[in-house]
Amino acid sequence: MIMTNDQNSFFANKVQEIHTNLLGEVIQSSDTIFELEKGANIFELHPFFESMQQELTSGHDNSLAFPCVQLDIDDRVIICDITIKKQREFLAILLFDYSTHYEHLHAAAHEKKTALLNEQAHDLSLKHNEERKEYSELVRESLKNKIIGQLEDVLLDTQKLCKTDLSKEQQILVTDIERTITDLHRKAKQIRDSLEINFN
Amino acid sequence: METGKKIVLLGQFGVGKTSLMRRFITNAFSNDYKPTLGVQIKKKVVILPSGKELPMIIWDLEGFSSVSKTRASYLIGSNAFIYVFDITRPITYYNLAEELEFLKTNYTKVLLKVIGNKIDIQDPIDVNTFLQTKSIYVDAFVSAKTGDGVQELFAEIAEKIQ
Repeated sequence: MIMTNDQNSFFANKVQEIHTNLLGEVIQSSDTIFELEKGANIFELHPFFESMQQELTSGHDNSLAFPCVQLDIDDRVIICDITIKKQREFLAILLFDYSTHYEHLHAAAHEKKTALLNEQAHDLSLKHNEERKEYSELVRESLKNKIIGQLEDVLLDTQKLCKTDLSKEQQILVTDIERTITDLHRKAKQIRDSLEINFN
Repeated sequence: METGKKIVLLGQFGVGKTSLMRRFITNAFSNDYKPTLGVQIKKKVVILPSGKELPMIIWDLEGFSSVSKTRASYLIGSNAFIYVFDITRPITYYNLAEELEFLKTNYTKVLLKVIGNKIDIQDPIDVNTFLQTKSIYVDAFVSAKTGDGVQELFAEIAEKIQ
Protein backbone atom coordinates (compact mmCIF):
# COMPACT_ATOMS: atom_id res chain seq x y z
CA MET A 1 0.00 0.00 0.00
CA ILE A 2 1.31 3.46 -0.86
CA MET A 3 0.75 6.29 1.60
CA THR A 4 -0.50 9.65 0.44
CA ASN A 5 1.78 12.67 0.65
CA ASP A 6 -0.17 13.99 3.65
CA GLN A 7 0.27 10.71 5.49
CA ASN A 8 3.92 10.57 4.56
CA SER A 9 4.64 13.97 5.97
CA PHE A 10 2.57 13.73 9.18
CA PHE A 11 5.29 12.24 11.38
CA ALA A 12 8.13 13.48 9.22
CA ASN A 13 7.20 17.06 10.14
CA LYS A 14 7.23 16.25 13.83
CA VAL A 15 10.53 14.44 14.08
CA GLN A 16 13.96 16.01 13.94
CA GLU A 17 17.17 14.05 13.92
CA ILE A 18 20.39 15.79 14.84
CA HIS A 19 23.89 14.36 14.76
CA THR A 20 26.74 16.09 16.58
CA ASN A 21 30.32 15.21 17.33
CA LEU A 22 31.29 14.58 20.94
CA LEU A 23 32.00 18.29 21.41
CA GLY A 24 28.36 18.95 20.61
CA GLU A 25 29.00 20.53 17.18
CA VAL A 26 26.20 19.82 14.74
CA ILE A 27 27.30 17.55 11.89
CA GLN A 28 23.89 17.19 10.34
CA SER A 29 20.29 18.00 11.18
CA SER A 30 17.00 17.33 9.45
CA ASP A 31 15.86 20.83 10.60
CA THR A 32 12.23 19.76 10.76
CA ILE A 33 11.47 21.62 13.99
CA PHE A 34 14.43 23.93 14.62
CA GLU A 35 16.89 25.17 12.04
CA LEU A 36 20.42 24.41 13.10
CA GLU A 37 23.55 25.52 11.32
CA LYS A 38 26.30 23.02 10.71
CA GLY A 39 28.96 23.56 13.39
CA ALA A 40 26.53 25.17 15.85
CA ASN A 41 26.98 23.81 19.34
CA ILE A 42 24.05 21.81 20.68
CA PHE A 43 25.12 22.53 24.26
CA GLU A 44 24.50 26.23 23.61
CA LEU A 45 21.14 25.64 21.95
CA HIS A 46 19.13 25.18 25.16
CA PRO A 47 19.86 24.71 28.88
CA PHE A 48 18.46 21.19 28.55
CA PHE A 49 21.42 20.16 26.43
CA GLU A 50 23.87 22.27 28.43
CA SER A 51 22.94 20.48 31.63
CA MET A 52 23.51 17.13 29.90
CA GLN A 53 26.94 18.10 28.60
CA GLN A 54 29.04 16.30 31.19
CA GLU A 55 26.94 13.17 30.94
CA LEU A 56 27.17 13.11 27.14
CA THR A 57 30.82 14.02 26.76
CA SER A 58 32.16 11.53 29.26
CA GLY A 59 31.44 7.96 30.17
CA HIS A 60 30.28 5.06 28.11
CA ASP A 61 27.97 4.70 25.15
CA ASN A 62 24.58 5.47 26.42
CA SER A 63 20.98 5.89 25.43
CA LEU A 64 18.76 8.32 27.28
CA ALA A 65 15.08 9.11 26.91
CA PHE A 66 13.37 12.23 28.21
CA PRO A 67 9.62 12.43 27.76
CA CYS A 68 7.69 15.69 27.78
CA VAL A 69 10.44 18.29 27.75
CA GLN A 70 9.42 21.90 27.18
CA LEU A 71 11.92 23.47 24.79
CA ASP A 72 11.82 27.19 24.09
CA ILE A 73 14.16 28.02 21.26
CA ASP A 74 14.08 31.15 19.07
CA ASP A 75 10.74 32.31 20.52
CA ARG A 76 9.16 28.94 19.78
CA VAL A 77 8.01 26.60 22.52
CA ILE A 78 7.50 22.96 21.76
CA ILE A 79 6.87 20.03 24.07
CA CYS A 80 8.78 17.06 22.87
CA ASP A 81 10.12 13.67 23.73
CA ILE A 82 13.89 13.57 23.37
CA THR A 83 16.03 10.52 22.80
CA ILE A 84 19.79 10.82 22.87
CA LYS A 85 22.00 8.00 21.73
CA LYS A 86 25.66 8.36 22.53
CA GLN A 87 27.92 6.47 20.15
CA ARG A 88 31.69 6.17 20.12
CA GLU A 89 32.10 8.98 17.60
CA PHE A 90 28.95 11.04 17.73
CA LEU A 91 25.68 11.86 19.44
CA ALA A 92 22.39 11.08 17.73
CA ILE A 93 19.54 13.21 19.03
CA LEU A 94 15.92 12.65 18.15
CA LEU A 95 13.27 15.26 18.91
CA PHE A 96 9.66 14.20 18.61
CA ASP A 97 7.27 17.15 18.71
CA TYR A 98 4.34 16.06 20.87
CA SER A 99 3.07 19.59 21.58
CA THR A 100 -0.53 18.99 20.50
CA HIS A 101 -0.79 15.73 22.41
CA TYR A 102 0.70 17.21 25.56
CA GLU A 103 -1.41 20.37 25.38
CA HIS A 104 -4.53 18.21 25.56
CA LEU A 105 -3.00 16.34 28.47
CA HIS A 106 -2.19 19.65 30.13
CA ALA A 107 -5.84 20.69 30.24
CA ALA A 108 -6.83 17.33 31.70
CA ALA A 109 -3.98 17.43 34.24
CA HIS A 110 -4.99 20.94 35.26
CA GLU A 111 -8.56 19.87 35.85
CA LYS A 112 -7.56 16.76 37.78
CA LYS A 113 -5.00 18.49 40.00
CA THR A 114 -7.26 21.46 40.71
CA ALA A 115 -9.99 19.03 41.79
CA LEU A 116 -7.51 17.18 44.02
CA LEU A 117 -6.37 20.44 45.59
CA ASN A 118 -9.97 21.49 46.24
CA GLU A 119 -10.68 18.12 47.81
CA GLN A 120 -7.63 18.43 50.07
CA ALA A 121 -8.66 21.98 51.03
CA HIS A 122 -12.15 20.74 51.89
CA ASP A 123 -10.78 17.86 54.01
CA LEU A 124 -8.40 20.21 55.80
CA SER A 125 -11.19 22.69 56.46
CA LEU A 126 -13.38 19.93 57.96
CA LYS A 127 -10.50 18.70 60.11
CA HIS A 128 -9.72 22.23 61.20
CA ASN A 129 -13.33 22.85 62.28
CA GLU A 130 -13.39 19.56 64.15
CA GLU A 131 -10.18 20.39 65.98
CA ARG A 132 -11.45 23.89 66.83
CA LYS A 133 -14.59 22.37 68.27
CA GLU A 134 -12.61 19.86 70.35
CA TYR A 135 -10.33 22.61 71.57
CA SER A 136 -13.23 24.87 72.52
CA GLU A 137 -14.74 22.02 74.55
CA LEU A 138 -11.42 21.58 76.30
CA VAL A 139 -11.18 25.29 77.11
CA ARG A 140 -14.80 25.41 78.31
CA GLU A 141 -14.28 22.41 80.56
CA SER A 142 -11.13 23.97 81.92
CA LEU A 143 -12.91 27.28 82.54
CA LYS A 144 -15.75 25.52 84.28
CA ASN A 145 -13.66 23.24 86.50
CA LYS A 146 -10.60 25.31 87.21
CA ILE A 147 -11.90 28.89 87.25
CA ILE A 148 -15.68 29.16 87.57
CA GLY A 149 -15.92 26.29 90.06
CA GLN A 150 -13.08 27.66 92.19
CA LEU A 151 -14.59 31.15 92.18
CA GLU A 152 -17.94 29.71 93.29
CA ASP A 153 -16.16 27.98 96.19
CA VAL A 154 -14.56 31.26 97.22
CA LEU A 155 -17.94 33.01 97.02
CA LEU A 156 -19.45 30.38 99.30
CA ASP A 157 -16.60 30.90 101.73
CA THR A 158 -17.04 34.69 101.77
CA GLN A 159 -20.77 34.23 102.40
CA LYS A 160 -19.92 31.99 105.38
CA LEU A 161 -17.43 34.57 106.60
CA CYS A 162 -20.09 37.31 106.45
CA LYS A 163 -22.18 35.32 108.93
CA THR A 164 -19.39 35.36 111.50
CA ASP A 165 -18.54 38.09 113.96
CA LEU A 166 -16.30 40.32 111.82
CA SER A 167 -14.85 43.69 112.68
CA LYS A 168 -15.83 46.71 110.58
CA GLU A 169 -12.52 46.58 108.64
CA GLN A 170 -12.88 42.81 108.08
CA GLN A 171 -16.46 43.26 106.80
CA ILE A 172 -15.27 45.89 104.33
CA LEU A 173 -12.48 43.56 103.12
CA VAL A 174 -14.78 40.52 102.74
CA THR A 175 -17.39 42.61 100.90
CA ASP A 176 -14.67 43.89 98.59
CA ILE A 177 -13.42 40.31 97.95
CA GLU A 178 -17.00 39.15 97.33
CA ARG A 179 -17.59 41.96 94.82
CA THR A 180 -14.34 41.24 93.00
CA ILE A 181 -14.97 37.48 92.89
CA THR A 182 -18.54 38.02 91.68
CA ASP A 183 -17.21 40.24 88.90
CA LEU A 184 -14.53 37.65 87.92
CA HIS A 185 -17.15 34.88 88.05
CA ARG A 186 -19.43 36.86 85.72
CA LYS A 187 -16.56 37.52 83.26
CA ALA A 188 -15.40 33.88 83.27
CA LYS A 189 -18.96 32.77 82.48
CA GLN A 190 -19.12 35.37 79.72
CA ILE A 191 -15.94 33.92 78.18
CA ARG A 192 -17.32 30.38 78.46
CA ASP A 193 -20.62 31.41 76.82
CA SER A 194 -18.92 33.35 74.05
CA LEU A 195 -16.78 30.27 73.24
CA GLU A 196 -20.00 28.33 72.89
CA ILE A 197 -21.32 30.90 70.43
CA ASN A 198 -18.06 31.09 68.42
CA PHE A 199 -17.40 27.40 68.03
CA ASN A 200 -20.78 25.67 67.91
CA MET B 1 32.26 30.61 31.64
CA GLU B 2 31.79 27.37 33.53
CA THR B 3 29.30 24.75 32.36
CA GLY B 4 25.88 25.11 33.96
CA LYS B 5 25.09 23.35 37.20
CA LYS B 6 21.91 21.29 37.20
CA ILE B 7 19.47 21.86 40.05
CA VAL B 8 16.29 19.78 40.13
CA LEU B 9 13.12 20.89 41.91
CA LEU B 10 11.27 17.93 43.40
CA GLY B 11 8.06 17.58 45.38
CA GLN B 12 4.38 16.84 45.09
CA PHE B 13 2.10 18.82 42.80
CA GLY B 14 0.95 22.25 43.89
CA VAL B 15 3.76 22.82 46.41
CA GLY B 16 5.11 25.78 44.42
CA LYS B 17 8.10 24.41 42.50
CA THR B 18 7.34 26.42 39.38
CA SER B 19 6.69 29.53 41.46
CA LEU B 20 10.04 29.08 43.20
CA MET B 21 11.80 28.80 39.87
CA ARG B 22 9.96 31.83 38.51
CA ARG B 23 10.80 33.84 41.64
CA PHE B 24 14.47 32.89 41.31
CA ILE B 25 14.77 33.44 37.55
CA THR B 26 12.59 36.52 36.98
CA ASN B 27 11.74 37.66 40.53
CA ALA B 28 8.05 37.39 39.63
CA PHE B 29 5.01 35.53 40.98
CA SER B 30 1.63 34.59 39.58
CA ASN B 31 -1.39 33.40 41.55
CA ASP B 32 -2.59 31.30 38.60
CA TYR B 33 -2.03 27.60 39.15
CA LYS B 34 -1.05 25.72 36.02
CA PRO B 35 0.42 22.27 36.70
CA THR B 36 3.74 21.48 35.08
CA LEU B 37 3.72 18.66 32.61
CA GLY B 38 6.99 16.78 32.20
CA VAL B 39 9.81 19.20 32.76
CA GLN B 40 10.59 22.82 32.04
CA ILE B 41 14.12 24.09 32.20
CA LYS B 42 15.40 27.62 32.84
CA LYS B 43 18.84 29.09 33.28
CA LYS B 44 20.22 31.96 35.32
CA VAL B 45 23.79 33.08 35.76
CA VAL B 46 24.54 34.05 39.34
CA ILE B 47 27.55 35.98 40.53
CA LEU B 48 29.17 34.49 43.59
CA PRO B 49 30.69 36.65 46.35
CA SER B 50 34.11 35.78 44.88
CA GLY B 51 33.03 37.44 41.60
CA LYS B 52 32.86 34.12 39.77
CA GLU B 53 29.93 33.65 37.37
CA LEU B 54 28.01 30.42 37.82
CA PRO B 55 25.26 29.34 35.42
CA MET B 56 22.47 27.55 37.28
CA ILE B 57 20.12 25.40 35.22
CA ILE B 58 16.87 24.68 36.99
CA TRP B 59 14.84 21.61 36.11
CA ASP B 60 11.27 22.08 37.27
CA LEU B 61 9.69 18.63 37.29
CA GLU B 62 6.04 17.71 37.20
CA GLY B 63 4.72 17.02 40.71
CA PHE B 64 4.62 13.40 41.81
CA SER B 65 3.26 11.35 44.68
CA SER B 66 6.63 9.73 45.30
CA VAL B 67 10.12 10.67 44.14
CA SER B 68 10.85 7.00 43.40
CA LYS B 69 8.33 7.24 40.56
CA THR B 70 10.22 10.08 38.88
CA ARG B 71 11.86 9.07 35.62
CA ALA B 72 15.52 8.46 36.44
CA SER B 73 16.76 10.17 33.27
CA TYR B 74 15.43 13.49 34.59
CA LEU B 75 17.76 13.23 37.57
CA ILE B 76 20.94 12.25 35.71
CA GLY B 77 23.85 14.64 36.12
CA SER B 78 22.21 16.66 38.91
CA ASN B 79 24.35 18.83 41.16
CA ALA B 80 21.59 19.62 43.64
CA PHE B 81 18.06 18.59 44.51
CA ILE B 82 15.60 20.97 46.13
CA TYR B 83 12.81 18.95 47.72
CA VAL B 84 9.88 21.31 48.18
CA PHE B 85 6.82 20.77 50.38
CA ASP B 86 3.85 22.97 51.17
CA ILE B 87 3.69 23.83 54.88
CA THR B 88 -0.09 24.30 54.61
CA ARG B 89 -0.74 20.80 53.19
CA PRO B 90 0.38 17.96 55.48
CA ILE B 91 -0.06 15.45 52.69
CA THR B 92 2.99 17.01 50.99
CA TYR B 93 5.34 16.27 53.91
CA TYR B 94 3.91 13.21 55.68
CA ASN B 95 6.12 10.81 53.72
CA LEU B 96 9.12 13.15 53.68
CA ALA B 97 11.35 10.73 55.61
CA GLU B 98 10.96 8.01 52.95
CA GLU B 99 11.39 10.52 50.13
CA LEU B 100 14.64 11.88 51.56
CA GLU B 101 15.93 8.40 52.33
CA PHE B 102 15.39 7.41 48.69
CA LEU B 103 17.35 10.43 47.45
CA LYS B 104 20.17 10.04 49.99
CA THR B 105 20.55 6.36 49.14
CA ASN B 106 20.43 6.64 45.37
CA TYR B 107 22.12 10.00 44.81
CA THR B 108 24.84 10.08 47.42
CA LYS B 109 26.89 12.83 45.77
CA VAL B 110 24.05 15.24 45.04
CA LEU B 111 23.46 18.16 47.41
CA LEU B 112 19.99 17.91 48.93
CA LYS B 113 17.99 20.80 50.34
CA VAL B 114 14.60 20.44 52.00
CA ILE B 115 12.38 23.46 51.67
CA GLY B 116 9.03 24.39 53.19
CA ASN B 117 7.17 26.82 50.95
CA LYS B 118 4.22 29.21 51.54
CA ILE B 119 5.31 30.87 54.79
CA ASP B 120 3.24 33.86 53.64
CA ILE B 121 0.12 31.81 54.56
CA GLN B 122 1.16 30.13 57.78
CA ASP B 123 3.86 30.30 60.46
CA PRO B 124 6.08 27.24 59.93
CA ILE B 125 6.91 26.72 63.60
CA ASP B 126 4.42 23.86 64.23
CA VAL B 127 5.36 22.06 61.02
CA ASN B 128 9.03 22.40 61.90
CA THR B 129 8.44 21.01 65.39
CA PHE B 130 6.44 18.11 63.94
CA LEU B 131 9.19 17.27 61.41
CA GLN B 132 11.93 17.53 64.03
CA THR B 133 10.17 14.87 66.08
CA LYS B 134 10.70 12.64 63.04
CA SER B 135 14.36 13.70 62.77
CA ILE B 136 13.71 15.69 59.60
CA TYR B 137 15.55 18.97 59.48
CA VAL B 138 14.28 21.56 57.04
CA ASP B 139 16.97 23.70 55.44
CA ALA B 140 14.78 26.73 54.84
CA PHE B 141 11.23 27.97 55.01
CA VAL B 142 10.47 30.30 52.13
CA SER B 143 7.71 32.07 50.26
CA ALA B 144 7.76 32.05 46.48
CA LYS B 145 4.92 34.55 46.66
CA THR B 146 6.72 37.23 48.67
CA GLY B 147 10.22 36.10 47.74
CA ASP B 148 11.22 35.57 51.38
CA GLY B 149 14.30 33.37 51.53
CA VAL B 150 14.29 32.39 47.85
CA GLN B 151 17.37 34.21 46.53
CA GLU B 152 19.25 33.28 49.73
CA LEU B 153 18.42 29.62 49.14
CA PHE B 154 19.79 29.59 45.60
CA ALA B 155 22.81 31.69 46.62
CA GLU B 156 23.66 29.12 49.29
CA ILE B 157 23.28 26.26 46.81
CA ALA B 158 25.46 28.09 44.27
CA GLU B 159 28.20 28.51 46.86
CA LYS B 160 28.12 24.81 47.70
CA ILE B 161 28.09 23.36 44.18
CA GLN B 162 30.42 25.79 42.44
